[in-house]
Amino acid sequence: MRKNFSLIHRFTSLLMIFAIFSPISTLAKLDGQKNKAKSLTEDQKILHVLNRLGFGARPGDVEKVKAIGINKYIEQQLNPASINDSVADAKVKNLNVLQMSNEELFAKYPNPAAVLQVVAQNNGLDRQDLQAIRQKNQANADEMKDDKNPEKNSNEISDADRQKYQREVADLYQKYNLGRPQQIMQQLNASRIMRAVYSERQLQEVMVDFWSNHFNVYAQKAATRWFLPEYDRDVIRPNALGNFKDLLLATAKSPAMLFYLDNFESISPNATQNLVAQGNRRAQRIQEMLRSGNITPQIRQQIKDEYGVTDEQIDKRLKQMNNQQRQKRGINENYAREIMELHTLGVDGGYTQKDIQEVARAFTGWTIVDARGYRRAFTSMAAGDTNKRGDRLMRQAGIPTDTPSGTFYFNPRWHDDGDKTILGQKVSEGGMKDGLRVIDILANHPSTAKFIARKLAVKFVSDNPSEALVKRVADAFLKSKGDIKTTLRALFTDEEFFSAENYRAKIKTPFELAVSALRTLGADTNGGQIQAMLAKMGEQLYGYQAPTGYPDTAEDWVNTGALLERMNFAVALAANQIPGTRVDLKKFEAKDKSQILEHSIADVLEGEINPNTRATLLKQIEQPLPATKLDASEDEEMPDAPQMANAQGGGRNRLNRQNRLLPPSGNAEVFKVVGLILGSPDFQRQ
Amino acid sequence: MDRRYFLKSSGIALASFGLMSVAPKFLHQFAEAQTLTAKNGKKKVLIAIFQRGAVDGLNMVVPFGESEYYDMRRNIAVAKPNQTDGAINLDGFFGLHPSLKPFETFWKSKQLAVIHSVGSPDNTRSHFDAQDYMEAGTPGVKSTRDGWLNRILQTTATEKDSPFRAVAMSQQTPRSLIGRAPTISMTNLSDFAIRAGAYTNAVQGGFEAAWEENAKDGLGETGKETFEAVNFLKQANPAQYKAENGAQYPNSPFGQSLRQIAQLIKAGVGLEVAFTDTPGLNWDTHANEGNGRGQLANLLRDFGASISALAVDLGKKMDDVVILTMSEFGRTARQNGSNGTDHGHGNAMFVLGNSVKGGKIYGDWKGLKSAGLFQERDLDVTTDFRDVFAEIAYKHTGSRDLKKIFPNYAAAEKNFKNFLA
Repeated sequence: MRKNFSLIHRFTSLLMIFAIFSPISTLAKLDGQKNKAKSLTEDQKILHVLNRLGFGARPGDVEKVKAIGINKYIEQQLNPASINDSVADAKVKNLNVLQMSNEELFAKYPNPAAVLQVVAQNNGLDRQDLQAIRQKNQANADEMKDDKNPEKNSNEISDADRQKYQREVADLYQKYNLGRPQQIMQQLNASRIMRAVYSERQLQEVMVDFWSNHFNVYAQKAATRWFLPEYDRDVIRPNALGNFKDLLLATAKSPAMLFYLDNFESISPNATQNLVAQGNRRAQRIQEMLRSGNITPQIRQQIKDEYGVTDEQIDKRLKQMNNQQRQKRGINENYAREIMELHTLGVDGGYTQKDIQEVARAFTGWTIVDARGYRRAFTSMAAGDTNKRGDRLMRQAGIPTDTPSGTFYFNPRWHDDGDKTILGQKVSEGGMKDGLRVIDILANHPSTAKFIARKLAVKFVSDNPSEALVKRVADAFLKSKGDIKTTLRALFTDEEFFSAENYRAKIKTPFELAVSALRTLGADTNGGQIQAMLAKMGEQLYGYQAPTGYPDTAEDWVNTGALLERMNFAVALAANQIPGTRVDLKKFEAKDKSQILEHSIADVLEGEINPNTRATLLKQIEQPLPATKLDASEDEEMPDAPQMANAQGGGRNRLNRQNRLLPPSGNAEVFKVVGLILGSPDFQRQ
Repeated sequence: MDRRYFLKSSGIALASFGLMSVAPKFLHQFAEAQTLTAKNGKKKVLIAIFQRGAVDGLNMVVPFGESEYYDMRRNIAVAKPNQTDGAINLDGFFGLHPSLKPFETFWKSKQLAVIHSVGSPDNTRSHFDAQDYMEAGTPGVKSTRDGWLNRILQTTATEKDSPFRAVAMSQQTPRSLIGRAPTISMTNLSDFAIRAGAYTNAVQGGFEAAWEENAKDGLGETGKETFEAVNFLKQANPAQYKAENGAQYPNSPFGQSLRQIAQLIKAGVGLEVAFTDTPGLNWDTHANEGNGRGQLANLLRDFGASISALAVDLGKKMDDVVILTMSEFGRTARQNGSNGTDHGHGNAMFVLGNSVKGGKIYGDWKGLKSAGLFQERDLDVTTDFRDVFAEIAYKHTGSRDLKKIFPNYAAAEKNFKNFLA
């Protein structure tokens, strides 16, 4: 019986998670119609704005907003250029990847697989040797995932040789003062965290987070990491509060997205036909040879005369070309599908499989120069000696060899110039204009307005926004032709935004939790180790593999494992156990334990605490803490923590170390109170 | 009997370590309750493995007997058996990818079955939608709130259920397990604790009290369950675990996730459904897929070695365990322009266990000739994935409420493929 009751209870509470989060909304429910009486106080409105338009309040923020007024504050936030942001700028100033172009990143943080190619050349190895080394390296060769298939009968390479070549790779990194590619993401992620914590342009940072997730790119997919600093700097940030169509186009042309969703390899099957139509002699020959499966004596003779080659060489080359033709030519639909399903129309937005195929045709030829950076790594190291193979590949593709590596390039030779019909509209512009027209159609489609409006409403208002609200915001989007500022203004001035039932009704994502905790404690952070904590809580930046991006509703974030990690984050932060991050909890110190608690509640939660939580915490702090000096008793403590001897290599040592790092440097009572508050249900809400 | 009192004051590990005679009365009650739901006195375990990204079923279980297969995949076909890197012959027509060599033993001992040409009646080629539909168990319907595995748990709930009934080895609760039956998600058993060194007990006590006070809403309820589970695992002490029968788990994220599932099963924490989505393995092989070697071969090597290690390790326990693999859809029959395959339709699933009538390929095969293909490009679906799921729900987990698990679908015994005894 009890179980039945508890099931019903649980079901009911699930239904009401969002409705009864705060005592205020509970009251609102009880009072029924009297909504007006239950509207938010001015201070609550300010907190709401600081939580939703930003990553929570820092000490003193509420007073600052009060001084200028909520409306003016919102308007300022909508115009980030007007806000001085020198503190945040200074924090990220030394992260050098942020200012580098894709080509510079390829050169300065080269792919180890590309460096290995240099080593192979220095040692006179052939492709098969290289393949064998790569296979042996597989276990730790994240960068090579995307490489060409190992060929059959690859040569045997001894472990000793392989290690020698790996050492030579390491030597080259040192000799030319190069960095390992993982540093790119470490720096970029650190900048995302520090800007979210320190920037005065809070709404800008919230929207950077929103759009980075909406236009998700996964950093672990092959070469995407070299493109992500540019993606953040030149694609997302300048457009985060700009026009949606500009943003959409910027993502469509970004090497990060082109690589992540494979469009850079999407080539019209008629590409050779196009060349012929353009009167390219070489192409005509290729086509002639391919069509016949063999070449005519005349052409064979012509080639022999022109290039001074033997029949054997011609046959070999012919076979190669035949393979290349088969391997290289083809359409990839991945981006075409996701731009409609996830970036614009939404899955129920009214497109068909046929539309996907047509959009894919429109985007053929939108590609990346030297997409994996092999050519650039080569030239940077071989003392001015250019990579002949890389240049040849570029010439074959018709790309000028002085085009910088890792940049967008529209290749007319790869483009399908035929007419297309997309969402009932005829697209016959030809060339790159085909894709531009698709962007135009999609950005201005009513389904897009509705899809973006709903997503914004879920982000800023509630997990279940009303249809009426979504419609009002969608109208603003359509009317302003996708002006993001106007759309957000409609959202922030809507009465539903400030309604009591939506107050503290959103559960923070791990990123929001971590950043808001750092802000409320006025922490000093370099954004380094916080990244690992985010991964543990389930939200590694640029770490979501599927193009959907991370979910944004409580249902997706509230589970036992994740909540436990949130509590562990709270403990680690309050105890100053996160390398590169420091909090000063002195200001919470007081003679009397209950005063410590009151200070902490006032500062960390701005006084917004469930009375039950307050009562519980009061009881808890009266419990004595163990002696702060760790001695022999430490070993007796250990068996309490589950230790998986070999759950994941070295797991036990790691765990022991973590446990040993404690106790905290400061006042243990303060550590406990602040830790408990940051890990309480109340601090998970915003 | 009060479930929470039981959880707070007992360790179910006692039951599995032969300490029943000295165990308190409520432990006996728990053990008795366990026998109610299974004929042979033990609870059944279902291990669901989701290959996210859509594995290429045609290269995983290769129809080497079809010439069209080789015509359509000139660069990426797996060679015929007995050729270099060729398929492992199963029945003269189908073969395993050579990377799945460890599966051969289970095939020969008839513990392993394949269902081919299986998939969704919905023809979406969106990862997101197709995963959503398969995990919700309702193709074409997005509004289904809970997952099919959670509905199995709902229909087989008893008063004495363990908080470890359902465990996902992932940070976030997978769609399959979302729902009102309590579940746990974690990536590592050792991390499933409050980590505060000397202050662990003091801090955990504080958190427990704070979350318990908030138990009236969903957030607090989950927090409360978190601490029930933490305390439970502590007492079960799976640290003593050693793999048996010479099983060797790969040191990969996927291998380790299966190893920890084995730990939970052997620690006797009352596990009924385990879920993992092959962490570290991305099956979305749009480019440079490879044939008997290459990208997919590397993925399948980890996949095969990890699952085999689990089955070897569990040994006799496989009497009560069924391992089921699934993926949202198959991939195009033809290779694409990047030596990969794009999103397709029908796919293949593996079922492994001692109750499986293995050594057989189940499902009708319409083949790869143009007329037999779905939309002239993909392997067609001849078996609805719900018929596979339903058979497992009915015969293995003992659920009798198929209507509830698969709403608006006539799941019934007559549609079963009967791959389970």
